[in-house]
This record gives sequence, C-alpha cells and structure tokens, in this order.
Amino acid sequence: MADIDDIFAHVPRRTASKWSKNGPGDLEDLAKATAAAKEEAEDRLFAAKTSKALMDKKIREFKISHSLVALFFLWVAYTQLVGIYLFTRGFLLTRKVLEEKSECKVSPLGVGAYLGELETGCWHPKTFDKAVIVIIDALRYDFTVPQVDANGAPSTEHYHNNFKTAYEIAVKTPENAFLTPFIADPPTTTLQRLKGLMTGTLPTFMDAGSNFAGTAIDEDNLIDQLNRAGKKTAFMGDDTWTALFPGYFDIEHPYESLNVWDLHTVDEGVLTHMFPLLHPDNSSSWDFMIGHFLGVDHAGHRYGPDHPAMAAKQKQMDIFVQDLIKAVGDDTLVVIMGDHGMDPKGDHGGESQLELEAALWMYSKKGIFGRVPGFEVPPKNAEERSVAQIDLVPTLALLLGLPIPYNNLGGPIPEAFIGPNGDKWDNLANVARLTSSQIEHYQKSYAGAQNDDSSTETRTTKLWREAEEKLKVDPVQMTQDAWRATYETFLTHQKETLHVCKDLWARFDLTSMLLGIITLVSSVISILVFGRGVSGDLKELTGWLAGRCFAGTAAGGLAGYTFHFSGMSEQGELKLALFGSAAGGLLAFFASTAAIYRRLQHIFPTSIFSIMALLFTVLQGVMFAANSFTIWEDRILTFFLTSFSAVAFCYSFRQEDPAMRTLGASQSIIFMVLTRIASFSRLCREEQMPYCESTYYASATSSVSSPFSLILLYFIALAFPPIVKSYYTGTKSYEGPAQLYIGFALQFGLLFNALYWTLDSADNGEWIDIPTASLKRAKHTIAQVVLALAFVAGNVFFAWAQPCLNIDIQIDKAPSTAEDEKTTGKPSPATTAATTSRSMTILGYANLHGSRSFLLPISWYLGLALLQKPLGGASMAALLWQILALLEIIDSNGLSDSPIGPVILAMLGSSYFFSTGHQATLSSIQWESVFIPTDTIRQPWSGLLFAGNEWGPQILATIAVPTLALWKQPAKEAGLMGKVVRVCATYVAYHATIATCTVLWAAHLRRHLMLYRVFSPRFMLGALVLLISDVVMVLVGVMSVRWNFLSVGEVFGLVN
Amino acid sequence: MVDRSGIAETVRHAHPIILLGTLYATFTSLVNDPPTLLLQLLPVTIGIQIIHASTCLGSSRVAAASGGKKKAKSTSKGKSEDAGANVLTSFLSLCLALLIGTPAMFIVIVLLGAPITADLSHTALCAAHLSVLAGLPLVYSYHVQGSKWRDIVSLNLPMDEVYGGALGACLGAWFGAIPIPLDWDRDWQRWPVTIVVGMYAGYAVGRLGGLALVGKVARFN
Repeated sequence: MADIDDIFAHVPRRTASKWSKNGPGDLEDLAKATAAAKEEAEDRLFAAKTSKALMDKKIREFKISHSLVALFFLWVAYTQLVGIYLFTRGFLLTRKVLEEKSECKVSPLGVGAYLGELETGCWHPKTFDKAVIVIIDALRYDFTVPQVDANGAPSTEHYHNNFKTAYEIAVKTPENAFLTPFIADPPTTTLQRLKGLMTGTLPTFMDAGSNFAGTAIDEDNLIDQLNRAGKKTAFMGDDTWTALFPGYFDIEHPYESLNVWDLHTVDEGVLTHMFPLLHPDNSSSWDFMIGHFLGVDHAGHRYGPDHPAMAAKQKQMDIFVQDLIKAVGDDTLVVIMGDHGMDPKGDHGGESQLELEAALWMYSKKGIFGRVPGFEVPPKNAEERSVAQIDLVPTLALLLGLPIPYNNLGGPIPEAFIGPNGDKWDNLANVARLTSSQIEHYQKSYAGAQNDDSSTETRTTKLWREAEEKLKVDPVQMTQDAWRATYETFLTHQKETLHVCKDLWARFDLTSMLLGIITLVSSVISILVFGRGVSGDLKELTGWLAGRCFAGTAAGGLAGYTFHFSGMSEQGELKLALFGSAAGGLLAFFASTAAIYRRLQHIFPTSIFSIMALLFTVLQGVMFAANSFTIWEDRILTFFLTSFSAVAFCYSFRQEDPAMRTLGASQSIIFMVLTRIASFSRLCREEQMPYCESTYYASATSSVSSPFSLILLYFIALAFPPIVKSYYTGTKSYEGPAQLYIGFALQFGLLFNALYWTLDSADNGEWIDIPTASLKRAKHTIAQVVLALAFVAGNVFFAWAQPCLNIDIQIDKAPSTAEDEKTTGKPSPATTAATTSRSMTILGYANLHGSRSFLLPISWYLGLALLQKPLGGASMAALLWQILALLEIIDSNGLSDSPIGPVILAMLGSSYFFSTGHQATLSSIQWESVFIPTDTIRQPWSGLLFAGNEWGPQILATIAVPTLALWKQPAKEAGLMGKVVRVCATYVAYHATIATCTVLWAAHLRRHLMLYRVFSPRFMLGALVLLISDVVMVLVGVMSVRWNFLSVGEVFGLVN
Repeated sequence: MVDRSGIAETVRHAHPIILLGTLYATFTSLVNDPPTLLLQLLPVTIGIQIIHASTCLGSSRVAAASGGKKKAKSTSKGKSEDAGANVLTSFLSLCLALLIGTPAMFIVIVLLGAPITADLSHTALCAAHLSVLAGLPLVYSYHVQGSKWRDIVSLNLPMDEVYGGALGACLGAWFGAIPIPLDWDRDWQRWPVTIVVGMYAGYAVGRLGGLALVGKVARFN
C-alpha cells in the first residue's frame, strides 16, 4: 500500500475524489486500498498541512511570475502598437480641411462680375428650381447600357439589360437626358463617395476605415450651400447621409445601411416617402430631394452580380425611373447615379476599373442638354468618354444657382451647359471660368494655410492666367471657336490642378514614418534576442526584464513629452511621448541584455530546421517587395508549408523508435496533403486573373456558397470530432473535460454550424416556404447558441476544468515488471505497479499539459468556424487538424525547442487566411459576417465578430501556440513555463518580422503605381495581424497557460 | 565509392558540364515547347547518367557480393567485364528510379503546388528528369538496402559527390519555383522550365558541394 501513498504524497485529498468522479466507480476500491494508510492519519494530517503551506507558497510564486510574463508580452505589444501608430500617421495620407465657405455675394471673378440674387442664381443664371438626386448604390455603368455577348446577341447575365429606360431616353430625346460613365475616386466605399459627391474634393486614404461610423462633414458642400440659400431639403434612404449631414435635412427618412442581407427595407422606404413628396400638392415642401437606394449594392454583396435577385432589383429600379420621370415637373432636374461600381463578385472598396465605373444619368423635361461633338450616343464604356464624380458638384451648384463649394476641384459637365445644339461654347467657357477661378481661390488659401510656395502652384496659376488673357478680347467679337479654345484652356487648368492636388495629398510625413520604422525594427530585434538569443530558463528572466522595460517605457515617455517643449521637433507631443516611451522601453531591454551577456547565444541558425524557420520568414519578408509575389502570397505559403512537411517526413526516418517514426511520418503526410487540399479553397484577387479560379463561392460572379460546401459541413460534423478524439486517445487522454469538449460541445456545435448555414442558404435561395422572419429568428438563435457555447462556456469551463485524467485500477494476475512499462513506449500512461496483484494506472499522464491546454483551441475553433462561410468552416476544420498534426510532428521529432514549430504555426494561420476566402484587399472583406448572430450593429460585438471572421485562422493559430511547448511534455519537467515563453516569443517574432517587412516595403515603394492596390493593403493586413496576435497572445494564450498550470499543479504539484 | 581511373576521372569532370551544356543547347526549344523537349531530352540525360554511373560510380551490390578483395578490384582499374556488369546494374537502377522515383516525385511536386488538372505531362516529365538525375546514381550506388535508404531519405548519409548531386538537384528544383510568380511575362517562366533548369544547375553545384563537405551529416535540430 505504500506505493499508493507515494502517488498521493503531495496530492490534496479532494483532488483524489475529483478523479474518481470520472472513473469507473472505484472510489470504494481506492478507499479500501488506502485503508491501511488511514491508520497513520495523524501523521498524514501533519504532512498534509506542511505540504499545503508549501503548495500555497508555490502557487503564489507561480502566479506572480506568470503575471510578469503576461506583463512582458503586454510591453512587447505596446511597443509594436506605438511603432505601427507612428508609421501609420505618417504613411496614410491626410488632407488639410479648410473651413471657408463660398458666398453667394462674393463671386470668384472679383468685383464687377455677374452677381445675381438667390432667386435668379448666385454666380451664374440658374437653370432649375428643384432637383431630385437619386443614388442607386453600386450602379455600375455596364448595368445601364445594352450589353451583347460574344456572338452579338443580348447578354443574358443577370446583371445586364435590365435597367433600360435611362439609356432609351438618352438616345431617343438627347435634349432631355444624357448618360455617361461616372468615375469614382478611390476608395470606393459609400461614405467616401458621398463626401466626394457633395464637396467636390478628393477623399484621402485615412478616412477609409471610418465606414462603420460616419462623421459629419465640416467642409463646404452642396447641402450646406442649399441650407444657407434657404432651400428645403428632403432625404430618404441610406443613413450614411444623416451621419454626414446631421440636422441639415428638413425632411429625413434614414434607414439602417449596413445590413447587407436586407435587400428591400431601404428601397421600400425610399419609394414610400419619395412619391408623395413629388405630388404637386407637396411641391412647396421641398426644393432638393435625395433618395439613396441600397438594393443593388446589397444584392451584389450578398449574392454577387450574377443572381436573379440582382436582375429583380435592377428591374425594380428601372420601373422606379419610369415612375419618377412621370411624376416630376418641368422645372425639376433629375439625377440618377451610382456612387461606385462593383467588382466581379459584387463587392467594392478598392480601385479596380469595375469598382470605379459608376453611371450618371441626368434628365429634365426642359430639354436643355446637349452633346459634346463626337459623343452623340451614350458611350459604350469609360474608355470612350467619362465624367469624374467630383464634376457633379460644380454642375449641380451652377444649374441650381448656388455658389460652387469652396473646396471643389471638379469641373462643369459639358453636356449640361453646351445647349441642345451643342454649340453654346460661350456658356460653357463662362461656367468653366467660374469653376477655375474658384479652384484658384481655394489653391491660394490652401497654400497659405500650408505656408507652402512650391513651384507647382505657379504652373497651374499660369494656365489660369492664359485662359483669362484669352477673355481680354471684347466678348461680343469672340467666335464660338475662340470660346471653345478658352473653355479648353480652363479645362486643362482644372485637370492640372487636380493632378497637383493628388500629388500634394500624397505627401508623406517621413519623420513620423521613420520613427515608426525605428521602433518596429528594434522591437523585432528585441523579441528575437529574447526568444532565440538567450539560453536557459526564460521564466524568471522574463519577470526581471518586464520590470525594467516598463520602467524604461515610463521614463522614456516622460522624456519624449518634455522634449516636445524644447521646440526642436515639429512632431506633436503625443507622437513624441509615444516614441519616447517605446524607445525608453527598448533601451532598457537592450541595456538589460547587456547585463546578462553570459547567457546570450548567437541567433544564427545551424540546423536544418532553424535554417528553414529563418529562410521561410526572410523569403516571405523579402517577397513583399514585389507586387507579383505579394499577389501570389497564398500559393507561396502553400509551397512553404508543404516543403516543411516534406522535410519533416524525411527527418522522421531518423527516429530510432519505430512508433515515433511512424507517427512523425504519417502526421507529416497528413499535414502535407491537408495543406494542398486547403489551398483549393480560395477567392482570387483581381490581379491573379486569369491564372486563378475562385472556388470559395458558387461561381466567380457570386457571393453565395455552393450546396457542395454545405454537404461538406455535415460531413465534418460527423467525421471531425472522432479525428480530434484520436489525437487524445493515443495517450489515453480522452478523459474528463476532453469528453465534454470533444464528445459533446464539438459534436453538437458542428451540427449546429451546419444547420445554421443550411438555414442561411435556404433563406438566400428561397428553398423552403417559411416566412423570412421566423427563418431569421431560428438562424440567429442557433448562431447565438454556438457562439455562447464556444466563447462563453468554452472559456469559463476552461478556467475551472481539471486535467484530462483518469485512474484505472486493475487486478493483475502477474505482477507487472519494469519491462512491461517500457514496451508500452512513450504514449503509454505512467504506471505504478503495486507490489501485490493490484496495479493502478493514471490515464492521460503522458500528455497531461497538452491535452488540457488544447481544449481551448477546440472551443475557439467551434466559434470561429461558424463565422466563416461554409467552405471557410471546412477550411477551419482542416486548420485545426493541421495544428494537431503539427503538434505530433514537433513532439515525435523532439522539436519543441526549435523555432520551426511557432513559425510554421504562424504560417498556417496566414495560409488559412486565404483559404477562408480572404485576400489582402479591401473588397474581399466579408462585412456581412457581422450579421451572423443578429440583425443589428452593436459595438463592440459587431467589431469582434468582424475580427473573428477576418482573422479567424490567425486567432486560432495564436491560441494554439502555448500547446506547442506543452504537447506530450513530461508533466513535472522543470522549465516548462520557460519553454512556453520561448515559443510565444518566437511566434510574435515571426508576425513582427512580417509586419515590419510590409511596413518597410510600403515606405520604400510609396511612389509605386501599385501602392494602394497591393502594398498599402498588405501593410494594413500585416500591421493588424500583428496587433491582433499580440492581443490574443496576451489575453488568451498566456492566460490559458496560467489556468493550465494551476489545474495540473493542483493534482501533481507545481513545478517551476 | 568513386572510381579514380583515367577515363573515369575524365567522365567525372566532364559529366556535369555535358549535362548543363545539353540543357543550354536545347534551352530555346525547352522554352517553346517544354513537354516535347523534355521527352526528347530524357533519353539523352539517361544515357549520360548511365555512362557516368557505370564508369565512375561503384556499385554496392558488386562490392557486397564479392567481398573486400573484389571491392578493391572494382574500384581500381576498370575492366571490360566489370564495365558490362556496371552497365547492366545501371539499367536496373534506371528502371527502379523511373518506376518508383517518378511517381513519388510527381506526387511531391503536385503537393508542393503544381497544377493538378492542367500540364500533367509537364509535371510528369519534370519528375522523371528529377528521378533520373538524383535517383539513378543513388540506386546504382546503394541499391535497395533498407538502412541506406533510410539514411538517404532522412539526410543521414555522410556527404559525398553522389549524394550531394542528388540533394543539389532537389534543392535546385525547389529554388527554381521562386521566379515563376513574377510578372515579367517571360516565356521561360513557363511551367516547368525554371524547375528543370534549377534541377540541372543544382545537380552540378551539389556535386561540387558534396565534394567540399564530404563525410559531413546535416543536423536537423
């Protein structure tokens, strides 16, 4: 009986009974077995008391040192955040906003120019009293003109030849209407476009992120001018308008705009509120009406262009146009336009031609429109002829007799001023002169505000003077040809100014960028030195370092803030304080490493796996210098990952133990094949065409999942839990909480996942005849249950769960021997042979830490998989399987100290980013994932859901990082926590290197043609992935280790 | 296991140059029509490899079967009956390399990212070339001794010219994949031209590398 006592020597009694709860009812056995021991109860009590005090002390020590580890990673995250912030502030361009407004009584032509009253038109006689502006979101130009297929027959795509009325009228009665491509300035997000359409100026990249929270415009704009002129404005539709112009509209009917699943609410709202106002009885209640339809855009987001829903939406819009022109009066101008186009699968945000090409149709019963000679019929495409979106602003202002908004850079649209015969060049030249003069005016104040007199200003001013010179001749004697020449000079002036402004606002703050780069590069070096360059146990060192780094950060921050007052730098105090804090912390770190120089080792790799880890990271970092490598990043990652598994396969053959050899080789093959299979799930970016075929959605012009992927989800629900289980049964760890997580939560959660996406597809495809409302409710409830199971129950239970252990007591006929134990090999449970015929086995001892710690990735997988589209959910299953295979490869080949584990894990996360239908482009963002468990946007939850969809694979990989160091490691090995720290540091170092490389290349290639298409989005992705993996690492990864160690320590005692 | 006789020395030095020269001479047609040229080039490479193997390389089977005394003989002056036996052995090695090596390499290349539905003949020929370049000399030298092949697969074999060449060919093919995605729109970026070039160049460099690092074993961890 002494043996059993030995086992329990440092185990509190309550734990012993805990195990038995899961055991085969052997509490009585256990009691009998320990009956003899109970006789020594008093001795035991004393021993237990001392051991308990010892234990408490150890727990306290562990908690403190663990908190310091978390603090250290927090410091790393902080430094990286500062680096990225400083770089971003200098890199993502900002434009200075001037607050001056144009005045009706102050013509830009100076004193003596035509000055009318509001009633007749301010700077120029007005043409219309009223205007109806209708925005059909994402109305691409090719939707509006007849399209033919390759054989010359009318195109049968769902998105062609439905919206016909506009084209027909423009052809039949050209004096009543014209239709033209309407080119957006990127970024093509609705908020940015509305700003451009109302102010006439260029949005800068910085604003692109604010799509979720529209902010009021404080620049001069059309709506403000209408208000100042006392005109009554009415608005209905997309609520982005009310966010941009709060309190400006006399009548407003805003509708929630971000719910892309809803194709009809906004449109129905616009239709219900618009037509009553158009009735002659109500004509006095408005002067300027805006309607903003979202149906076409949402159909594009939800289904992609090639779907019957798109055709239905376009037909509905066509009928609306017919009704509208019947309802308006003679003095009303009608403008129908798209604010941007859509890419082949119905999304937008980037700057591809299809996203930029919207349509513009202007109509009036007055018959004042003309054509520029040579363009009598609507152009076939934008290459023939197009109009810039900012041109709408001066055109509308002059047609309605308003002053041109102060910041406007657009020019008047010729069709609206040239007259029905196409010969009123004098009128056109006059409006062009007004516009150019206002632009010159604006340029002067902008230059004044910037204290900037560079030579480019004078170049445009010279053009303007030239044009003005041409007008010095007596206007009466001027021929139409002379007017035309004058107009063209003004046009050149406008184009040149626009060019200069684009250039001007592409000016980078190099100091800020440099500070960011210095911070990031030093941070990468520091984390590399920490993770790979220090020998011995990292745990104690981390605490020691954390204290010093934080002290350095505080001191540096203060120093930076004080430096601001010395006036030696133009950077703001926030930037200086932030840079000071980062620099201070890093200096403290490097000074501290100098103090422990004895423990430093060189980082240069000498073994195949460490060379591979470095080579893969460096090659990937270098490849971001080339746009083609960046574009093909998905394939390159697949190539690296399969290469790793091929080498791991080879290395497995070095193992002497046949069981280990088989395990390593077979898991390498699984890893390799899964990598290749997962690479088939992808969504090609535009630049990959035509060498790439998207498989993520049912077709290339759709964003609906194929039914095949639904079947795959059901298959996964059935087949995947047993696969995960098999990784537990090998070490007999499928006990206790593992049964709950894998056998129950995973099993049912995956079924619910499949059910959710089935209902979703049923909703999309209208398969079954159930009211949409109840279908939605059912769908949302299922999603909420899964998310609660994964993120709430999964995490809370993880904090309280016991290790995956059980005790098996057997009565042996023959006493077991030492040889028996040996033959069972490493995966076998630790066995204690009783001296008599009784033996007790602790099941799951061989993977004590790993089996418990991996429960967290399992439950997070469940939630993150739900947030992906069906094929993405399947990809996530492959990811989890690959992580398990990687754990086995690392363990069976004894690679837990090598950097290859964390590097490959990080690359897995990056690779599956692409396998879940994402790309490093703005248009591939799956905004609709926010609406999986609910109908409304509620921060911060919507943001979290979005992050879970966008970076789900990276998040899952990050959570699995600590398990890399724990999988199948001896439970009582010293320095295990230090190993975890090392693995986590290496993982962070990988992401930091990648992010820093994208930063370096984006900075270096800041004048590259592909900056906004390739390098800038990749930089943003790299930076965000780094920050997210930092945060997840500190909050989830490192914290999970705490619970894991405490829970294991409760049973077996803590080992430091 | 390297024969040091006069003819053998000449063949040994000329061998990589002839291989690279052949590839260089046919490069234009390789770029224009990879599968046809690869198919035509395959017998040439096989011939060069067989000549090289039977004149320069020692066969472990001969060595093992005939004991120490004969081994000394076989590695001394090349006798005519030895040459005949060597050619036979090298033909057997060729069969093994092509039958087992080509499908294995094909699978690996596809797993590494080669197109799975298109250009299958390109990939298959590429795999055949790799197995003739890297596999044939290895099979000739080590036959099917399980322990040796375990060492070969796990990079545990002490480095020599044969092994160096084989590893070089594999690594060269790997690095050959790197220029493919670049948007230079060159014809030579066509699948699998760069892989084949990398393979041949890697083989030549690997032979030299094997000599430089002779006897060394790679460390994994």
